[in-house]
Amino acid sequence: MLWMDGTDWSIALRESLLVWPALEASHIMTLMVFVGTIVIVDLRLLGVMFKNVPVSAIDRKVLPITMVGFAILVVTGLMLFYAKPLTYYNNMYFRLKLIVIAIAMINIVIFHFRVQHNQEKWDNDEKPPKSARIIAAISLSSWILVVVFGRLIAYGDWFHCHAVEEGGLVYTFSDCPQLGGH
Amino acid sequence: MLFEFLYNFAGSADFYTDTVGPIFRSVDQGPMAKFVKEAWYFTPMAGCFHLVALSLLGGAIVMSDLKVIGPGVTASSPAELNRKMNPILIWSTVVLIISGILLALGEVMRLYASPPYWLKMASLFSAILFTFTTRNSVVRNDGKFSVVAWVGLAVSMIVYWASWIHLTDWFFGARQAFIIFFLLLAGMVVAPKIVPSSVSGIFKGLPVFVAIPLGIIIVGLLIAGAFLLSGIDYMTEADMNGMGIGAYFQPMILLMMVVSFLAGLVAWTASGNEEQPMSMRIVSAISIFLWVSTAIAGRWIAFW
Repeated sequence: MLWMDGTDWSIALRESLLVWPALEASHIMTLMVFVGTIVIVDLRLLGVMFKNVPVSAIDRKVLPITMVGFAILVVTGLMLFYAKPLTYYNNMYFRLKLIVIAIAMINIVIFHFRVQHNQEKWDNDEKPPKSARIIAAISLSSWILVVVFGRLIAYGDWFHCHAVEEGGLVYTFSDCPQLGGH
Repeated sequence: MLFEFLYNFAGSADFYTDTVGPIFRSVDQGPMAKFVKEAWYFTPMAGCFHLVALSLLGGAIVMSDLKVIGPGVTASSPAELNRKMNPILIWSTVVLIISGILLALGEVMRLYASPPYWLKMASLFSAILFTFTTRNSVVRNDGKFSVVAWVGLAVSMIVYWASWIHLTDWFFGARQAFIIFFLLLAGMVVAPKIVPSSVSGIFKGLPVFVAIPLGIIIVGLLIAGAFLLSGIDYMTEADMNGMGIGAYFQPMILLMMVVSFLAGLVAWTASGNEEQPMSMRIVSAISIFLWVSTAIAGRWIAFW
């Protein structure tokens, strides 16, 4: 992290007049596309919206947009991290965000291998089976939490290494001793 | 009287100092602003609601407007999609406005002096007015303009572009970003009339998971090219602003516009290339532009 923070490109990126704001703005704009569309897919799986549209039709038309949004989010997110690695590395909310993203990913894998295998049986159902609805509820909550933790990263000062009790839970969770509380 | 007020509101520095300034100052010193500033948890919480609402709004716009000019759920008609998405659009806008007011209370005087904030307000006003009058009416009537639709279009466009001209001289690069986005959408709108089927057929033959990412990559490269072509370092900020509208007739800037437009054609070609009536395509593109412009201006507040 210390090495990454000191590379020429990382310094140039965080100090740039146009690229850093453009990168952050792109991250937020693609968040609108990604979370906005995945919410629609989840609401269909919960049986709340588009009840007369087969789940497979929603998947086919909306998921490509969602996935492209996710790909751009990951790329812009990695670049933002690369520009300020120490700021994010020690940030409690950044770590919570990564944990929730991991939960959401595992949820997608479970949906794909355990729930979707018999989708043709309930594809046209207004209310998909309970397993699909549970997956949708977890997905919906996870991505909303990702947005919330992502927003709270900017307010990380409350739990910044220099502001928390040394040796405490947040201090250890944020790996403060490792990098000396940057 | 109304004309005089609007005229002053659009650009009189004295009007702002004498009339709007005292209002902001009194709000800044009022009990609500004091509470928001003192409660350490309040602004972050409002910020979270603001961002979640923005994401939901984005989904509603992508589903209802992007369907009209590009990809989307073809199992539903634009009018039906619009009807289904309206509750999400309305509620997310309500949450956005309430959380936005709470956020603003924490930094009233900074926002008063911030051009991006005023652009955001003008953009938000135009977006709400346009969406719930012109866009809804045109989409519901299969592309036909009613009187309400014309009035909504005229008022929202005057408010938006007058504010844009007046407020974006603070940053030429940002102005170019808006123009690139505008021309990208313009390209998507007119693409069905321009792109030959032999070209769009190549993308149509590809699986959707290949066509869309491929299109995004080409569009991304074209937009990056457009930004480079526009030569932000080509002249100084002061030179560009000093030239006023003449700056847009510089060969490099004109070339940037052409490249952005081309990016729009590619975006449509790669995105399922559905064809709705031209009037419907135009209002959906304007709706996307106004809402995204509101979001971009909002993000820019932090950097000004």
